Amino acid sequence: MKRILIITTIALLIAGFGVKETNAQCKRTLVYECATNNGRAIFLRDFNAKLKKSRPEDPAFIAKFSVVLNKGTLYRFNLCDPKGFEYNSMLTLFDARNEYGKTHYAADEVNSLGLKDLLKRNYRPEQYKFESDGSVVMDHFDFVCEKSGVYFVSIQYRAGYEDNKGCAVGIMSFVGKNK
Amino acid sequence: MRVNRILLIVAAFFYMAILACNESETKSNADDIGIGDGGLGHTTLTTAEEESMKEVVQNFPAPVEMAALLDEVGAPFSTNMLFPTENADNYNTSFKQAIALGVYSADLGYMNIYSKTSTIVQYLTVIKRLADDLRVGQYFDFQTLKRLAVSNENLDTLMFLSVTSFNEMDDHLRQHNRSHLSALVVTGVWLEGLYLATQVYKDVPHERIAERIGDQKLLLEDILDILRKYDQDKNFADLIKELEFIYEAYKEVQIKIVPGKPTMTEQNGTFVIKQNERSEVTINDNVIVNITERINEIRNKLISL
Repeated sequence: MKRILIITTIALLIAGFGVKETNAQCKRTLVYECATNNGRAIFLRDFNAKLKKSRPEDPAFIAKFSVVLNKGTLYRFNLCDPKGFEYNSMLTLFDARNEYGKTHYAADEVNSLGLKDLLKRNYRPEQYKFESDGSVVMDHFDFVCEKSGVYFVSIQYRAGYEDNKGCAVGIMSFVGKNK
Repeated sequence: MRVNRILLIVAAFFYMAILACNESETKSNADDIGIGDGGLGHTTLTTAEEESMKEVVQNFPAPVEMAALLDEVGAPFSTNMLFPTENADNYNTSFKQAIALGVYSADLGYMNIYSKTSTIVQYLTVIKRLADDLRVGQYFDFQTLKRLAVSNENLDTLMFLSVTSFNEMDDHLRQHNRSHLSALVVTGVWLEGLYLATQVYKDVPHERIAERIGDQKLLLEDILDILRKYDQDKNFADLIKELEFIYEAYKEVQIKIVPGKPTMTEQNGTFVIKQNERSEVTINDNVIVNITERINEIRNKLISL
């Protein structure tokens, strides 16, 4: 009887606490650091993504945000992971027709797009790095917008890191106007 | 046996307390709907409508984007264009306060971009008062914003706090079934942004400003869509009429998409993607004059509310 009561008590407490979902978005400190440590770019919006764990055989969990961009503006998209989890996630910018940019390119994409030659011209290890598997990761990219409209930003764990739950924060800022 | 009973009571009490907390939160959310200004918020949106509205409001370009364009094309800052703060006390209903909050926030973005920190404090004070009246003042760290503005340092942080304060206020309004106020704040931001652009265009008739004015056609359609959800309220119905009057002027604006594939370059170590698919806006000066007159008319009405 006592055991049943104890189990009931624990179950009730767990159920009670479970009523509210734990907020696993990144902390404001990380958002602030990511937003203000961004060169000359002026902060516009953050995409604070709560990333859920998924099994390698399942489709990866993707946090998706929509955003309106203006023609003639040079936007910067950067991604910050919590300390110790750097470059675990990736950010992608796309619209209904095209994928424009992302912070991680797999080895085959690096080859097909000729990114190795392109990025090695002015290699800056603090901005991007080449992985041993031939892929490239970067903490930001710039986007010259030529069409006003709705775009999407997705944030997800990179392949091989899906077995985690955590967060990542994307920042959209503008660098100045594209002339 | 006594221990068992205590355990049961503790568990039951704990569970009831947690449920009560959730219930009281729901209740307080519901209380937020009616805020005593005659009919606001009586419309209940479906989940799908709430979602589409959330998307429009969240997607809305930040006020600083329009201001940045004006700065970029070399337009000088003008205090005369700012929405006067003297009448702020007259905005005594949540309807008026929400629109005014949007208008002043657009001005705040304009001042931030031009680093006019001395004027900012006056506007921050008004914004804080309006936010308090709308019961979202808790998201607005007035003392920090004021300190940053006065010290004229750390503009990055000032921008970050300004933007995030408004985003958090907007989140709160939507989460507490006060989406109608979010819609009004966004309308205020849009009206003031367009007003600034049309005024600047008179003296600096730059092609990029004309194009941006034309682009507003798409945003105006979105705004009208979300406001129409509340058209049973007289205030909303009147506002919709005013905006439809502006939209009439936009009917001649043509926006076409020219396809293209993105290209990648590297500039100073940064990976840069150029879109190449582009939108082309056709708008002539007569249409801009027409839009300018109509936006002036509505803004003057707002000032004298």
